[in-house]
Amino acid sequence: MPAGEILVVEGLKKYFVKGGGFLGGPRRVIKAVDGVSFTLRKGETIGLVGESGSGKTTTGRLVLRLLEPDAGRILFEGVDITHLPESKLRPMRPRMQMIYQDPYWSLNPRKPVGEAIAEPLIVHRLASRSEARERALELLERVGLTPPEDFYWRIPAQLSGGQRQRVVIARAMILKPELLVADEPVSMVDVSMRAEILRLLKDFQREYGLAMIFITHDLSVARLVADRIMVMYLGRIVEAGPAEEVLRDPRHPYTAALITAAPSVRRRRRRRYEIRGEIADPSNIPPGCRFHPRCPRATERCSREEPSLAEAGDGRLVACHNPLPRGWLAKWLEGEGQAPEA
Amino acid sequence: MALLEIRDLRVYYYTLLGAVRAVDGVSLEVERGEWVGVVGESGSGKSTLALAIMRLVPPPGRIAGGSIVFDGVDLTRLSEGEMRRIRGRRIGMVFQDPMASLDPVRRIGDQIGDVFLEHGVASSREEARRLAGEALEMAGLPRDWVDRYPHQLSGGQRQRALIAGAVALKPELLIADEPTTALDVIVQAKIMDLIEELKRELGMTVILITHDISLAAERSTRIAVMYAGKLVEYGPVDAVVEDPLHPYTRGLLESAPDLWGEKRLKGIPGYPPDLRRPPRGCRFHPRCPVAMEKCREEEPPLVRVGDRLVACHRALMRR
Amino acid sequence: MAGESRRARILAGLAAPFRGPGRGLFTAGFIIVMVFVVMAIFAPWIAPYGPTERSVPLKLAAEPQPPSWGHPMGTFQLGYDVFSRIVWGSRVVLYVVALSAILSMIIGVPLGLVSGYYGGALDRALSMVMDSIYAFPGIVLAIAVASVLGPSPSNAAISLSVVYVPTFYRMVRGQTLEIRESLYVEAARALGFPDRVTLLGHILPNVAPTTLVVFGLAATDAILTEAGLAFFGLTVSYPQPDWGLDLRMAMKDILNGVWWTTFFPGLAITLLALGFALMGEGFSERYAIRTER
Repeated sequence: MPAGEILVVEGLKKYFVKGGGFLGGPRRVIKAVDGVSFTLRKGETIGLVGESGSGKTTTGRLVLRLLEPDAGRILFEGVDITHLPESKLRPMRPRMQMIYQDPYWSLNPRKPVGEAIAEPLIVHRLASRSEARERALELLERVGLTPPEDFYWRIPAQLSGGQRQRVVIARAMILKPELLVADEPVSMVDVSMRAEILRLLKDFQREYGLAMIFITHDLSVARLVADRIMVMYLGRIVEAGPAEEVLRDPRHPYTAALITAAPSVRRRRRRRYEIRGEIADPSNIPPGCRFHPRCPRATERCSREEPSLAEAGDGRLVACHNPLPRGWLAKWLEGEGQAPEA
Repeated sequence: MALLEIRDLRVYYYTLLGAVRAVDGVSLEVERGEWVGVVGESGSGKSTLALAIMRLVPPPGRIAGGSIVFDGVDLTRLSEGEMRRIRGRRIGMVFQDPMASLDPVRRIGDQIGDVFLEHGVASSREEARRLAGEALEMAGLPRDWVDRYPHQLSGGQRQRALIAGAVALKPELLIADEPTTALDVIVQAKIMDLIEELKRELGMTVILITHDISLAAERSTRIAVMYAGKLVEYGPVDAVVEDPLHPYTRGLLESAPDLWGEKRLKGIPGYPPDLRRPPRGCRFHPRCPVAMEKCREEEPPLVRVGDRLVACHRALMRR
Repeated sequence: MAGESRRARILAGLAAPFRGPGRGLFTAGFIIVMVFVVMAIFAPWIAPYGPTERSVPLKLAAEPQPPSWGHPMGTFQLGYDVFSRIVWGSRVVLYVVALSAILSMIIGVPLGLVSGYYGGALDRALSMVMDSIYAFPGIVLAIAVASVLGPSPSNAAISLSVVYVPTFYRMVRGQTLEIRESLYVEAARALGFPDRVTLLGHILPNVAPTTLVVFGLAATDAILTEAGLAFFGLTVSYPQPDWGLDLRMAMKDILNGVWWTTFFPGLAITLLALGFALMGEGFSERYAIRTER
């Protein structure tokens, strides 16, 4: 494994089985994650973007082994953790942390937030009880819950959503992790307080050299934090590349649709790259390219043959038989001509 | 005459721990044919405002004062029976969660059909279902989906069905409260297209309630910005987003991530106030970067500045 | 600072049921129960007579005497003072009820936690055993167990706890199943916490309020069942005082128009049961816990 890579994921799959059995209704296999591969370098942030049902959250939980993968391999710092038993994994867990979307339910409702922040240090015997409390107070201050003494003994119900998310960040950061999976950390936080949360994450990242997988449905948020963007659709990565380039020059039709659909104050009357319908049911994935029923560029080949994620130049990966031509979006947005046909 | 004229509206929730002033002295006019975006964060009172117009504020909430004049009639003075004749017929409403607003065990056609029966437009179930089919078609769904159940529809399709019900009787005003929050961006854009199309076809006026200033800015003619139960700024969309007069509006714009905007977000320091004990003076002053002595003492009135309304001492000084 | 705040928090926690919703119910129940507890502790000072002391002249002892100034609740046959026997009897009743509720909690809560958290074969086996016990009428089961163990207050307590272990188990297991799926339990796993920490530090504190409500329910029910056991002589033997036993001995009085010898012991049973029920009810209202019985 080349130096500088903290996480290597190969061919990751996770299928959930719903129903079946007595009175369980028809048995359905939900292919939540269906062959995902990527590498994450130290200190890097990947923005994992997709709609609901794309498998982005499942991917995040698989990587941390909070779910058991059905196929594939996960290497963390060169160690294959795919099938590591929980007892062996536990000592490694402080090095990989998770932040959840919902700041209401990711904290024990009966535990004072200061204690919740101190607890990881005490449980992992990284500090004495009083040292852990000191560190927790420092972190409370650091995440902007000041004066920290006032916040230490509060329970989650006494904090706002934004404040709770700060507690969750402090609890993850007290362990000085190397890898962080942040699952929609600001989507339930009020708009005016999002900037502060994102800034906190970035500051910690710089300080600890943290590698981050930032999961979001919102491309405009991904743009603010990500070095690279990976777009997921129905359990697969359809496009990946350096963030600004993917957003300015999307090659996959789905990425183009996502970008032009995102509401914007700056470009209020922009053209939209239209695609048909809605994301399919992940228990009933279309044959061939899973995007083809919605794709304006689909050809007969697309309904037959699944495209693989392939190099499209300049570090860009695209899973498409007919990718959009380079540099078309900027011109198209200026109103020049029709969307390119396949 | 404006289609909707709200004057000094106050809606309070009477809790054990004191009255929560969810909407506290809001005045707002909406002209016929407009699309007004009402923007605010949680606790701003934007949803309560929508419920108040529909006279659907749930207890322990109550309209504590002010008037809501719709086409010359003060809605706050109507009886429940009179209000029922307006709801659905002259004012339609769409809510955030399409699943929660639909009965899971009744067919879509029957649920939409209710509105025809209730307002005496249809005299039989059969006729109501036929009209429901037409409404579905108007909302871009196949006519024969009247026989489907909500769970057979995707999120976007459910929202279309609800919109079909809301506009079935061709209301003059449609209030949409976060209609796309539970949906993905591509579907969101399509639902917005649908509302815009229906607005044009039926000559409706639209009030869109949302936390997302970008979404509001895209199709509105005017934008109303609410903070802590107060209207802080109201004006034509271009003016408000290009040159916000209120520091909160500016802060909100600088907080909203935008694919085509700045790569650095600013955010607004601090937290929104407790509406049981709002701060003295301007409610925004504890978070305001340009607050002065006067802001701590005196509540700024909502003042007309050109074609805009703004409630800020600083903004008034500037002009 | 930390130490003081912790103490303040514990005090606030103890005071919590006396505040907020349901405080009226809880306080009323608490007062009733405390009256009986005080009675039991200070029985020698409160009761005017010993439990088996003849309190009337010999010639009046043959028949129960109606309430009078000297005997506000009248006397039993043999001249035992009803009030005094209720006071002394509260000792046995409270001992049996408290011991059985605590025993069944100590056994039922951990079993429910483990069963709900780990699931699997252990959970299926335990659930089956508990459900079959639960399906049995409580009083019948308690009598059966107590008959095997032999009559004594401690044995009565043990047989009662057999009845109430499943009540705790089912409630705790159900809650644990629910909490196990919650995000904060997954978060605990993501932080690398061992199961012991998750169970004791994160799940137990969240089932604790429910446990206390069940405690109230179980104690209420146990008072009535205890009276049943006593009725059949399975707690203490006559003439030692126990409300249920006194009821039994006084049964024949009813036919003679003597009401006080059954009314007052019955009232004591009802009141104490009411006290526990009110506490449980107030507590469940405080924490918005719904119970199915």
